[in-house]
Amino acid sequence: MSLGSALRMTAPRGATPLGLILAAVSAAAKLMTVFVAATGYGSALCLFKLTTGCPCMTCGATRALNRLLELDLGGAFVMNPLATAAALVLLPWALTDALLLIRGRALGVEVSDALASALRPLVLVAVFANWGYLVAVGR
Amino acid sequence: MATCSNCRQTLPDPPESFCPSCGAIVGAGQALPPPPGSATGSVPWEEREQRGFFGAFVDNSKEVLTGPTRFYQRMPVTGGIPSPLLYGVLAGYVGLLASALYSAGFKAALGTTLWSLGGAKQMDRMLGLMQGGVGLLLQIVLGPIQIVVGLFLAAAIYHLLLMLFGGARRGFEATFRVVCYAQAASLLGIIPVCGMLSGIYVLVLNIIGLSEAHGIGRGTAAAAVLVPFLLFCCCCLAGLGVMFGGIAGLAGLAGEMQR
Repeated sequence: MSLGSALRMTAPRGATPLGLILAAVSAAAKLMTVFVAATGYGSALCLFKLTTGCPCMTCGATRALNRLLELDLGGAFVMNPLATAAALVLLPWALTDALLLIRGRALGVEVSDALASALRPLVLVAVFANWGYLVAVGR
Repeated sequence: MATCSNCRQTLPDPPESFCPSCGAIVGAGQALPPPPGSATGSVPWEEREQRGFFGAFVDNSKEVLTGPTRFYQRMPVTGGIPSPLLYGVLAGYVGLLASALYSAGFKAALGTTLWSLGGAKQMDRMLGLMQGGVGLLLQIVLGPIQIVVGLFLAAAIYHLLLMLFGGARRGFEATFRVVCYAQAASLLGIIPVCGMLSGIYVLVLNIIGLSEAHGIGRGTAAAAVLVPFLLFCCCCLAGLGVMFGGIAGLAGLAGEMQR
């Protein structure tokens, strides 16, 4: 199985620019946390951490995003490696969508069933390894 | 020009993964029939031109709330994001406004006593803010933005988890549509002290909707919906944004009753 047949990128006309939308939503969510922080009521509002004392899977994501905005890549990975990696994937996806949008198209990624099956356990391991790291460092 | 073997409609060029007309999976030049129970119809909200704006909104809300399985079986899984997004924002905003107004009303009538959430000072302070006049103003002004962010965030996380659990048989749009139409439950916030219940019913509708739209079992759909609420704080943030009015109102009432 070649990578070309397992992973196919398309730019269908009229498709939803998902990358651009998700990037915009992330930016809006980030602005909301900035706003909450500015009210003096704290920027972190994690029910999971408040209840269990243990960080959740996305704890540190906002701080990681802050570090990324300051172009501190190392600092961002220290805060939450998986959230940083996701943000780094989202950025070129959103930029590509923005460029394609001019022509009424959007980026589409099609993954074959075989590759999806192979990726699934890897992603699960990555998610839980990331969580283990967050718990270990007390994020 | 390729046609869908399920509904015989012309497929777009270049082909997409799903037939835009009936939602059947398109593979290697042919369309596979949709999985059992998958959506191939229309819903009142998407027939606004015939039914009228208000009539379509009411009919759609009634159908989602009273017969969610039937509704999601008929819901088209493609056709564009703006229409379901508009419904989700409208329904969510009406519920949010109602909850926020009740909360402010409770505060005005009963005082400022707050229900202590396990001694979490940060949460108590946040509830204090949301119950006050500033909170009401914030919810009115920022409500629609909060709801749009929450809808996309929730749909993205549910879809990612469905992919991990092998349940994402349809595209992101199918998941997004389910999440938007599930906002009908927010309208229950109009009934006093039902803010929290509406939040729970949103989750139930999401489970039923994902199960029907993707043609998967209720268990897989439930896992995709409930896991993030247990493990991700960003979901709590998004969910809380929508449910804060209800929580604050309920908290004020509970605190007053404990007095």
